[in-house]
Amino acid sequence: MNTQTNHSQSAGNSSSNPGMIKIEETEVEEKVISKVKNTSPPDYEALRDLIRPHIESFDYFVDKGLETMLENIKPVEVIDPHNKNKLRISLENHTLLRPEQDRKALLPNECRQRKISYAGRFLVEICFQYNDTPAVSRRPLSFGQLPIMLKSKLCHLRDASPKKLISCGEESTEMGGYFILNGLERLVRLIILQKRNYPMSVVRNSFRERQEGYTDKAVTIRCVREDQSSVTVKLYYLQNGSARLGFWIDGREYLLPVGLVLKALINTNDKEIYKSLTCCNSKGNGAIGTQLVGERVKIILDEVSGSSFCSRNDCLHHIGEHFQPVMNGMENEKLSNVGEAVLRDYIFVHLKKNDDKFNLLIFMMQKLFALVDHTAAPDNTDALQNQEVLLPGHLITIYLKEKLQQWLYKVKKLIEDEIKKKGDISILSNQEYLIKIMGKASTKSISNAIENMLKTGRLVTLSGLDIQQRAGMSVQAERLNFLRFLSHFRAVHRGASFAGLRSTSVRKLLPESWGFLCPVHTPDGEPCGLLNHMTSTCRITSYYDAQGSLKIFANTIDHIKTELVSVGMVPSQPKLVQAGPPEVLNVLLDGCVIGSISSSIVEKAVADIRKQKLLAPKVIPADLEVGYVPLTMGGAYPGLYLFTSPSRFIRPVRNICINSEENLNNIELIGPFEQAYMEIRCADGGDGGRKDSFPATHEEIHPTAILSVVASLTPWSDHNQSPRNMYQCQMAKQTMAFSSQALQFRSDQKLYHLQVETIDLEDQSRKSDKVLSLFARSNLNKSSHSSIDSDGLPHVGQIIQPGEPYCSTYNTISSKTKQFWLKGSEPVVVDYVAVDGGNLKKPLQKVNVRFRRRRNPVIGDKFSSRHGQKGVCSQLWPDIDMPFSGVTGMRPDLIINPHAFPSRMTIAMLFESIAAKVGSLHGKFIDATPFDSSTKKSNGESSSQSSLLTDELGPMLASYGFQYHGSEVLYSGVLGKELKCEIFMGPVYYQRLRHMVSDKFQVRSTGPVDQVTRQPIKGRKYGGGIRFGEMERDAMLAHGAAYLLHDRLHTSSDHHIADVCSLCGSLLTSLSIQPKEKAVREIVGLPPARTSKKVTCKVCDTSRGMETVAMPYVFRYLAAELAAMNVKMNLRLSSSKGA
Amino acid sequence: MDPQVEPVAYICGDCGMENSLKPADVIQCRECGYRILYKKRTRRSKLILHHIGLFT
Repeated sequence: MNTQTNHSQSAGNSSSNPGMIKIEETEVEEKVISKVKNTSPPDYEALRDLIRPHIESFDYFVDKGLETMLENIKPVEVIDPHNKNKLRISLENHTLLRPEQDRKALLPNECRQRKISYAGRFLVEICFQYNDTPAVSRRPLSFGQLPIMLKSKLCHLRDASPKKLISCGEESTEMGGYFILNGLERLVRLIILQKRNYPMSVVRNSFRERQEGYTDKAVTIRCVREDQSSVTVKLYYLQNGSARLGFWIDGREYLLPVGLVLKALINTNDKEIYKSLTCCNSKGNGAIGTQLVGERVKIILDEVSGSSFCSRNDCLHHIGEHFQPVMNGMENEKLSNVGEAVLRDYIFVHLKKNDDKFNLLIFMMQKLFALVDHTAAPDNTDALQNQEVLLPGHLITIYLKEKLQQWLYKVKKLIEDEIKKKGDISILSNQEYLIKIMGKASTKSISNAIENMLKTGRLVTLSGLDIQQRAGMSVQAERLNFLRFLSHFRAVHRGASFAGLRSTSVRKLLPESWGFLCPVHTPDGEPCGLLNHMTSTCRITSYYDAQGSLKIFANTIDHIKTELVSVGMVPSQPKLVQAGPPEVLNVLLDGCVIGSISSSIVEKAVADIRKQKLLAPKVIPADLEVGYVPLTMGGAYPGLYLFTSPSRFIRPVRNICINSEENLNNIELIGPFEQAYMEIRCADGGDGGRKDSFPATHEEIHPTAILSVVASLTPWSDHNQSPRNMYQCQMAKQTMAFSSQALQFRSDQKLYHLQVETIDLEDQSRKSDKVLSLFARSNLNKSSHSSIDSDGLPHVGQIIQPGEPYCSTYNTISSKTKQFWLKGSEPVVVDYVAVDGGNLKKPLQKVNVRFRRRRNPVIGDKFSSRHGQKGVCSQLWPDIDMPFSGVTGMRPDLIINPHAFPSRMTIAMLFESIAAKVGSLHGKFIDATPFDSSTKKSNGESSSQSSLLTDELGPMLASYGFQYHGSEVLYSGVLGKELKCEIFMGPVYYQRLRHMVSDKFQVRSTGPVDQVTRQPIKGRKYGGGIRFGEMERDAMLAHGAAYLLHDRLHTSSDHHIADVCSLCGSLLTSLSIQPKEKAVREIVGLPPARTSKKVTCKVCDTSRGMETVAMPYVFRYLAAELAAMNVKMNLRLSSSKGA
Repeated sequence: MDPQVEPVAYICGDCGMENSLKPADVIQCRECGYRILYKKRTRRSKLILHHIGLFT
């Protein structure tokens, strides 16, 4: 009986062990496969759905993003000062090619093996236009190699069948969604952003510090252009009742009085603005509010009264005057044009028409006033309701846009410099020369910047791209096992800026995330609640419809508008003063006020639009979000908010208002914004506490839709204590498994692979060492029976012991050979040696050598079941010593201590054990889906599950001759006697975790020491020790273990005997004198006699007071350091007796 | 240097063709021109015997 974790209970049979494990494995596999089969006919389609957001966003970048981005890049104009010739340089017509090399397709697998990037050539046409003449001459210019996402439209594997994939050296399930950069697989992390084009009211203390007179209240909107670049605009409320519009240009915030912007946007007058702003709450309880609002509007208008702000042109002129220095390339423009450019480029950039911008600003003012008057609550910035996600394709688009824009500015500057330097008139007309100058601005840097961003995850940007973080944009896709690999693509990060925050409010699990983010699948510890995972049914909207063709937003917006008008919306006319809530609600479509709808008919209209969403001929897009915020006092600001935009979260639910006869499809896609105001019932048949006045309109498809892919793989997770399910989600991702089917083609840093041989479960961790050599050449050194072959590389299949050389290289410059020795303490098997002839002119440069380390389970290796029940192996028993069943002869593989259960409450593990026992006896699978009792009420079965699972399984067990409760009588394997208690035994799926003692053990007796302190160094790698720190010291003191303490802290550490002068008390002034006769003895050839070491004090100039004192060496070091600061340390020596 | 260097057998990563290369040879498949070659697994025991034979 051992004292550690593992003890008497559970698990299979010796002879049938591999069989048992197999059953469990196929069960898991079966789950995934059956899911695939049910939902869609093509193979692995459901699996691809999980990665889709990544790939679709990159496809958007290829299909549309690049084009719109180039259109949105501002052209530069160069004027020759000599003859006033004007040259306009712009970028158009991009070409992005598939990855290729030597005119042949470059496949991803080759990139992995050769440690190169999977990238395609990127070309853009440079357009030269002289003096505004229509004639444009174009020249293609290469911008280097842009990384291509796997399985995107430009990937060679795009539509490859599983068979084709295998022939290309990939998994049959390969899903893509990542990039290959220098042979490493990296993907862009999904990051939460503020929901685009939705004005959100925010209360934040930091707003007060902006300037004098600011309050903590603001309405903020993140406006996104067509090319995905965004500008966040904030409308601050001032203490005097006015408001300021703030927006960022190149890392600086500029604030404009709101009245000025209103007047600059359209031709309007004070009366119109007054009426527009005061229209809401004109009746009833809003009377006081109206008066206040009126006062505020007066202040706003007073701020911009006077002769200089009379007309729209005056206001534009005023804005232009202030912004001309920061607007690039507008130095010679008219001021009113500059003002218009500011409005166009920085204020509500998602809208094109100024009328729309004006209406939106009015709406935001109303919302701000409602927030200030407490008639509306602030929006929660941490709730998923107000969030969307940053997708890889969009990130690359905006980053590339900035880089190209900067490049154009740089080119402009270079050409201007050149003209200044040479004074030549012909420079501008000589396009060859211009292209040459452009070459100086390093065209390659554009694609290098993208590649570096993906490699390091760092954004190098001046403007900030309206993203809160600069680092951590990409992560490496580890293929430890499939679940870990998959989780990388499903993970959504809250943003690195929140990681350091003291407050925990951002980490909270909010009800708004229901069905979109998994409540179970988040790591505990530092990133808890910040790194979430999407549920298995959660998707992200994109630019592609269900048929895979690009959406045409202009059309759908028109359709939606006409549909809304037909259900009773009054379209907003420019300059038509509307009533506000409560009589009518504003209707916003993607951040544009398109009209208003009477609050009496809005609910019917919403139901109608939802119905339209489901109709087969898609006029209204299926992923339209219909966010109807009902009228409340003090709740969220009411309105009807519609969203068609990409990168929103969506998930399917069943619309139960629709008769199945008239429409077969009743699966509606809903977003987190609308979900908060919808009545969605669970499928358990209950009403969820709803009153009859609020009947459910929607129904969940399955309760497990709230779980992520990994979390849904825990059997009966509804019977476990919830943190245990969280632990399991983490551990599932650390499990050693079959990480890759294409193992023989992979050259990762480290891979784990389970090897199920006859009986043993063996592990082999594979490690690949990249060996760079100038020339690997024959090193047939006959004198040493080397393990190296004549090519300088090891033989495949050979066993290499630690300390043996495995490879040798030849340096052609220094003409030296160098050998590489195997480090560590384990023998390895050479698994694979691949040579890469990359550059044909040079000799062999790159070699992949893969070692296989066989790791049989040993004491100290970590294992866990699927219920957060982790533990280390504490004892390995011989097979014959294990207890066995007297009836079946079965013996357990693993014994777990029953004390592991009461406090952890992992009931599902017991269920799994008993159900697996029944299942393997019966030869069929038992459904372990959680929340099963709250499903399938409708199809007549009506809770086939009895109240107790054991009631169902018990009789089956009994029918096979086992005990009803699954326990068995066992016999001692050592003594052969019957054990007094019955023992619960059954098969449980066990995971071997990647933490193994052989990677972790650290032990040293003596070894390297630190040069300065002479204390042992730290670090396992260097043979260092483990720190015996203050707390450990305290424990020793408390035990009175003085000798041990002295041994650890002194004798085994930096023990030192110093000579101290007792006269002056100095530690540093001792000087040892070498006796002279030593030389004489050496000449004679006698061994040097044991001469008494003569030590004197340099200061006292005598050796009278010299004493030897044992002390830690750092003490001497301290004395020296203090001496350097002109502080003398005096030691007062006394013998222990005399003290 | 030993002039009688044994050629080493490699297998092409693309077409699967066996190539035996000497140290100075260009690393490229003779059949298809592919540049990643895998070293062929050989019977080590034979090789050792062969070496021992050489030494004696």
